[in-house]
Amino acid sequence: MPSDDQQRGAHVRRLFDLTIRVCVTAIALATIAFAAQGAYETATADTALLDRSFSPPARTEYLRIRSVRDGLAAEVPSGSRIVFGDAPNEAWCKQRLAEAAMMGAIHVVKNSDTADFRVSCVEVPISVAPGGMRLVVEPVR
Amino acid sequence: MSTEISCVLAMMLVLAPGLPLGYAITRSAPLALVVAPLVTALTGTAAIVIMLLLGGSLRAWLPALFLAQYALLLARHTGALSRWQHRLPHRLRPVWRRQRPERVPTSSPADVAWVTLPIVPPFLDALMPPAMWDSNSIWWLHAAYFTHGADFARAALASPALVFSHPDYPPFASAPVSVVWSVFDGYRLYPAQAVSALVTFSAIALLAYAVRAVTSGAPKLLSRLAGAATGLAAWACAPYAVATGMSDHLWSAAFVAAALLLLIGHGWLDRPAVPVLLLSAVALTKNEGLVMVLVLTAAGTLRYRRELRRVIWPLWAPAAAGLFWGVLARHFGAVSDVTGDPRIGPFLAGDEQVWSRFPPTVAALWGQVGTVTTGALIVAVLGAAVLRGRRRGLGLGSDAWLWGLFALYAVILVTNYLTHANGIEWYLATSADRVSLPFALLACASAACWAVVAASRGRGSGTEHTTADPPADITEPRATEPQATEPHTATRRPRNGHRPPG
Repeated sequence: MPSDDQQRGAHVRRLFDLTIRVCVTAIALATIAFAAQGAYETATADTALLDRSFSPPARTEYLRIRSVRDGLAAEVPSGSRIVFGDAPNEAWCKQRLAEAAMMGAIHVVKNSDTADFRVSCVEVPISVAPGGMRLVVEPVR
Repeated sequence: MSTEISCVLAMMLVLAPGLPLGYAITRSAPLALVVAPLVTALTGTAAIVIMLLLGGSLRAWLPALFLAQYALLLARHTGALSRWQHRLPHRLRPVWRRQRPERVPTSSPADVAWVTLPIVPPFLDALMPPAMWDSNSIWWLHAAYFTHGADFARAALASPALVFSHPDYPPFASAPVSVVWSVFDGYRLYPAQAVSALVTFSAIALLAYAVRAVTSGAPKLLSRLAGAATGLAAWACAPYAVATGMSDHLWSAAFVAAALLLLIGHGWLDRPAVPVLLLSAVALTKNEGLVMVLVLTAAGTLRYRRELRRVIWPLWAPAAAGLFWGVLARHFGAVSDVTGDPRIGPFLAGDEQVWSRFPPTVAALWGQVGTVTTGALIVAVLGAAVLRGRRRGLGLGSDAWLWGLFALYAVILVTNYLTHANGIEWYLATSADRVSLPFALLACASAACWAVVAASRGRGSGTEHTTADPPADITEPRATEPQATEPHTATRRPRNGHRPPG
């Protein structure tokens, strides 16, 4: 028969083990839930996206990059807005587009118009928005 | 053809050709559906490499490779290969003979549903207009020039006008889009985005599967929840990039999945095809992926150092494939503004200008994954201090492997930021969120495994674990562990007598 001290020791050990297990589980769950928050937010945003995405303007392929021999055109629908998320400033956006155009990589035109890229860049409003550096071309409704 | 129909057809075109080999390596129809896009991407990558080496067009090499693949599978199924293989010395016998012809564990329809369905809603991002800069300027641009044939692709690789596009990047992420664009004309971007998203979906689902597989000794519900939660953690960093054609989530998820199977799981050297597929995806997607495959290869070699002969194929073949692409791309003149002009000398000499980039780099990375890392580290330290015996009882390898990879990735990433010629603010602002993802996934995978360990009352109903090699040391529970809480540990013994390291 284990003595009272031994029984108490075993009880304390079990309690300690249980406490640690609960703490580990809780912190791990909180950590993963924090990480998975982005999935929830994306899924929620997607619900709204489902409505928008099947409306005619969003079906347009706003940015088209082809190989060099094909002319490498980025076609932007008339009246579009180009958003550079998290870019340092508007000048940086224009410079980035201009560099890409000078390298022959991208050519921005308005619809089927073959206007010079820099002219297009001036004509297409450019704004800076948070959310990572990326080129987003959105139609203006 | 409407956009919706073309997207569905494109995804079918990537899914269907990979199914036969996917089934052959998993022996599970549901899991074959998950791995099939990666199989198609890998076959497409092989076709692109052969095209660059030998010439011709992708439209010729793609069907040739798929047909050869099906012929081999058929020959193996009918036993025609066996007669031929027996004439070879053992060492030269094809590697697939080592693959156990049984279903991989935890691949029932319910298991696969648990690891795939939760990640479907956030993947609806693939319906967004395909306008991401990197997707267009890197992955789909590469896909487009690969479809123009060998001469054009070689010229594009060497073109100074395309340096901005990182032409030295491996073709895995572009290959499935090339497959689609080789069949359907027009270079339509919505199908391209759908296909890229499908391949990334496959990698993230396999990450969730890997957690489910390595924790299969725990009760099913816990293990499945842990897998699903880890899959959702792929949105921890740069969630906008998951389903919109970028490749960071593809390689990061595949990398952590391979690390889990090879370093935390047991028995995967006897069925190496899935880890090999994952490692190949990592090594052939991005340059930093290749670096991490080399790190994982070294770690795996260390873990299985007593079984080196068994390790060489599953670990070193993907690394060799990635290195081969690097040599091939440079042979054809591909350069990149990322890998060019690294300031290693000043870095080693302690140059103040180089090291002044250190504080903003660490701050930016910590801002992305600091909270997740802190939480997972607390869990790992508590778990390692108190729950190690319970962890061994569930057949999980040491968590230190994951944190070792975490630390090495941190060193490599910070060194890259320090030695790069670009302005640090711009460089961090344009990439820190995406390249932080492996940290978040490694931390979450570690936390998920510990959560399963802590929440398990003992071995649950996850009996499929027994199909893999159980760790030998589960027969030696530590004296500090209360025996009553893990009655299973005293009864299980390794079936083949060999002691898996780790």
